[in-house]
Amino acid sequence: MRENRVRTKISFLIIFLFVVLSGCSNYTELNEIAIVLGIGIDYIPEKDVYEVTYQVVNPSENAARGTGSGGTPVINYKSRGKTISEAAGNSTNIFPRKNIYSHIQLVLIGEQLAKKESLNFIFDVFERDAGVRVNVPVLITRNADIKTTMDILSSIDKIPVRSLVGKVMNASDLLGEHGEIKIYDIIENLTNEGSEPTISGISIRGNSKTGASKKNIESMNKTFIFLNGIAVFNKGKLVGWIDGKKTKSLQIIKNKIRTSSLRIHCDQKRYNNLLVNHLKSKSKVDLQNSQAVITIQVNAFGNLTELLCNKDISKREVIKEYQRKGEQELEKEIKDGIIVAQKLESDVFGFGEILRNTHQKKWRKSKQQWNKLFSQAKVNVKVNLTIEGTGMRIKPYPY
Amino acid sequence: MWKKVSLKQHKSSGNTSSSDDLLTKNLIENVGQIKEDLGDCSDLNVRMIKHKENPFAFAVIHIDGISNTPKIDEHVIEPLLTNKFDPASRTIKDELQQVIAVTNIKEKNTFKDILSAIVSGGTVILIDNDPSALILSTREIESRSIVEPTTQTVIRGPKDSFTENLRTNTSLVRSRIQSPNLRLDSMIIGEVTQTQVEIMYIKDIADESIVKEVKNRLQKIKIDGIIESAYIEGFIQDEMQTPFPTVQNTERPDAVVGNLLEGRVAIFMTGTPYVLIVPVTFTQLFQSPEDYYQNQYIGSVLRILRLGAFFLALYAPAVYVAMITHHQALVPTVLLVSIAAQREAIPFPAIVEAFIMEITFEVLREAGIRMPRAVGSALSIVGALILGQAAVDAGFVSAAMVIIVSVTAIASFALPNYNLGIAARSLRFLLLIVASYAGLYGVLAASLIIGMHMCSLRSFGVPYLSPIAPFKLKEQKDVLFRFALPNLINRPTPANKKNRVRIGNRNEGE
Repeated sequence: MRENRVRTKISFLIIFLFVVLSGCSNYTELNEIAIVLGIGIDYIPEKDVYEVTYQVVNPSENAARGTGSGGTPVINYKSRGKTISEAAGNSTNIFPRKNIYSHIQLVLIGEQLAKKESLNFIFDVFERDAGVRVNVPVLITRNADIKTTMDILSSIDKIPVRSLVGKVMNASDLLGEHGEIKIYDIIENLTNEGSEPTISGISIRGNSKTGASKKNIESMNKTFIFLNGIAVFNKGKLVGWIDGKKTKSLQIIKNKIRTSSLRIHCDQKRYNNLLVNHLKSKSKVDLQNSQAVITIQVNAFGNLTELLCNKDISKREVIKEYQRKGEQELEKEIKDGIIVAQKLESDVFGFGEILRNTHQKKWRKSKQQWNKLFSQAKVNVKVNLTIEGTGMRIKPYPY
Repeated sequence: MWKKVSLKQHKSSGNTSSSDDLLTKNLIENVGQIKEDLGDCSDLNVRMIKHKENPFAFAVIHIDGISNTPKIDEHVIEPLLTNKFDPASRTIKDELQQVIAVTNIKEKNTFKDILSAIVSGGTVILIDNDPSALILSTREIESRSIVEPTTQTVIRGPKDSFTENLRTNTSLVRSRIQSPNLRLDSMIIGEVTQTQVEIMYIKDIADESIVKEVKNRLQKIKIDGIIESAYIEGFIQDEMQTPFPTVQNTERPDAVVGNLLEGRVAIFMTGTPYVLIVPVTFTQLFQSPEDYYQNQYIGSVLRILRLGAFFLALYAPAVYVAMITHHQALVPTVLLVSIAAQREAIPFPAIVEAFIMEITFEVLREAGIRMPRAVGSALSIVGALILGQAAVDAGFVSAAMVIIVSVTAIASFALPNYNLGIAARSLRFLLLIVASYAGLYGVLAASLIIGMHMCSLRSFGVPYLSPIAPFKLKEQKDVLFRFALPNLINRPTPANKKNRVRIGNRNEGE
C-alpha cells in the first residue's frame, strides 16, 4: 500500500515536470499562417537599406480540387529595413498573417546587393534562427530586379520559386553546368580560407510584364526565367561571371557532376556527341618556386549518343580517335573555366583549401597573397576518357 | 459499496427458505415443501406414481426445459411404472438403481441439495416412507450448434467455434488434446446464478503456481451472479485501472489449444462462447492463430503489419494534429500547401475538427453494432455520405482529416484482439488532447507515461511486456518475427520451467 502511494507520487511528479519544463507552446492553426516559399534580398544603395521580397503561397489557389477563384498561386510583397529581421518585422504592416520561414525553398540575391554590399552580412540570420533551414538553394538575379524575377508565373510548377529550384536540379543532373548551391555551401566557402563561393545566375527571357500576369499561364508565348551563368565572388562581392560550357569546370573539379554532354569534332564540318555518365577528378596543388602548380587528373566514361560522320566505329582506331578528341574537348572546357576564374582572381574551385590540407607550411606562408598566386598558377589537366558504348546502332547512316 | 449491499440483501432473502432441513418420511409433505420452496413454478413437473400392483408411491420431480424429458419418460418413469417392487425389501433404492437407466445417480437427504439439483436440470425421485431422495443427472439445455467463429475469423484453420454450452466447449478442446494430462477443475461462481466455471490446463506444461493462483482468484469472487466471462475477467485481472487487456478472450478452440500448449490456463464458463486465457503478454495480443498456419515469412510480415496498425490506431490523429498545429516545419512543403488549402475555409481549430470526426465515427460504429440488421444498408449509405463527402463539401472538416480518421478506424480493426483495439481507441483521445496542447512533445511525454504504465502491468505475475521487457533473447523467435516451426523449440515464459522443450526428443538432453 505504501509502495503504491510512493509510486503515485512519483508519477504525478513526472507529469508535473512534463508540464512545467516544456517551455512555451507554439500553437498556430494552418489558416492563421502564411507559408513563405521564397525570399529575395536586395540592397538599395541610395538609402542603405535591405529590400526583402517575400513569396507567400496562396493555399486555395494550390488546392488539388478547385476552391480557387482564379487568383495567382503566390503573393509577392516587399518590405525594407536596415537588417533583414527589421524588414521581416515591417512586413507585418502589409500582410495579414504570420509568416513561417521553415518552408523556404529558395533564396534569391539581387545583383545590386552582391556588387555593392558583401554576401557576408545576409546569411547570419538564416543560420541563427532555428526556424529557418540552411539547406536552401541560393540563386542570384542577373540583369533583372528581384521582384520582377519572382513575379514571373510558371505553368508546370505553379509556384515560381519551386520551378526555379527544379531548373537548377535539372541542369545539374543532365547538363552538368549548374550545381545546386545551398546556404551552408556559401557560408562554408565564405568562412573557409582558400575558397570563394559561386552562385548560379538567373535572367528573364521574354516580356516581364506579361510574364507577371495570368496571361503567361494561358498563352503559349511564355516568358521564362533561365539559368544564366555562374557568379564569381571575391571577398564576398560579385566580381564577374563564368558563362556557358566553362561552368562545367566547377562541377568537374568539385566532383559534383552526374552526367554531361560533350561535343567533339569528327571532321572539318560536323560533330559527334558524347554523353559522359561517370566522371571522377582528383586535384593536386603545390607551390614550386613561389608559383602555384595545379594538376587535375580526370577519369571519365561515356557513351556515343549521336554520330554525324560516316566513320566505321566498329574499328578500334576510330573509337580511340574519338576518345582522344573527347579528352581534348573536356580538357579545354576545364581549362577555359579556370582561366576565367584566374582573370577574376577568385579561387572558386577551392584549390587553396586543397593546398592547406596537403601542404600546411607552404599554405601558411602564402595564404595572404593566395588569390594572386592562383591567378598566375600553372594548370595541368590530364583527362582519361573511355567510350563504353555506342548505343543501339552500330553503323552510322551513310551520309 | 453497491456490491456489498446487494450481497447482504441476497443473504437475508436466502435465509427465509428451509435450506438445511432434512426430508421427512411423508412423501406428500416432502413434495409440498419442494413446491413451496420453488414457488410452485409453472415449469416444475411433479409426477406422482402409484402403481396398483406396487406398494410404493414415487414422486418424480424435474424442471421442464432444462432436463431431457424424453429420457426421463423412457428411462425413469417407464421402469417405475412397469417394475414390481417387493414391499418387504429394505433396499428399495438398490432395486431402483438396477432399473433406472441414467448414468449418474446420487442419494441426498436435505432440501438444499434436492432444490439445487432440480434447478440445475436434475431429476429427483422421492419415495414414500423414505427420508432420502435419488438425484438423477438429466440436465440438457437447448444450445446452438457449432458454427464458424463470428469475431475471430481466419482464412486457413479450423472453422468451429465455442458455443454457450460449457460441455460442448470443453469437448472441442479435449478432442484436440488427447492426453491424460489435460486437467479440468470445476467450481461454482455466483450465489444466485450458481454458474459453472471450469479451468483447463495441461499438467506438467502449465506452471503449478499460476494454476493455483487462478483457482485462488476465482474462489475469491463473491458476487450474486456472473453473466459473461467478462465478469470473471473484471474480478481476476491484476490491475483494474488500465485500458490494456490483461486477460485474453477467444472463441476459437484452436487458439485455446495453442495457449494450453504454451502453458497457459483457460477458463470456461457456461453461457458464453468466450473462453478466457491467462496469463497474457502484450506481444501475444498481436498473434493470430493463422500466423502458425501460414508460411513463416508472411506470418512475420503480417505480425509487424499488425503492430504498425496498432501504432497507427493509437497515434495517427494525434501526430497529425501535432504536426499541423505545432510543427508545420516537419511537414513536406507540397503536402503542407495541400493541407493548408484544405484547411483554408474550415471554421474549427484542428483539434475540434479531429474530435468531430472521431466522435462521429465512434457513434457510427456504435450504431452499426446496435441497430437492427434490416436498416444496416441505410446506415452505411448515410455514414459514407456524411463522413466521406458531405462534411468535406460543406467545409466542416478537411478531406485530410477524413483520411486520417478512416485510416485510424481501419487500423484498429486490423488488430486480431478486439480488446486491444479498445485500448488503442481510448488512449487515442488522450493523445489527441495532449497533442493539441503540447505538440509532439506532449505526444512523446504521454507515450512515456503509457510505456511506464505498461512496464508496471502484470498478468498473473508475468510481466506484461515480456519477453521484450524484461528482454529474453531466446524467446524473440516468436515475438516480432515468427521463426520457422522447427526453430520454436522452447515454450514461452508462462510455461512450467522444468518442461520447456516442445520440439525434438525430450529425453535426449537428460
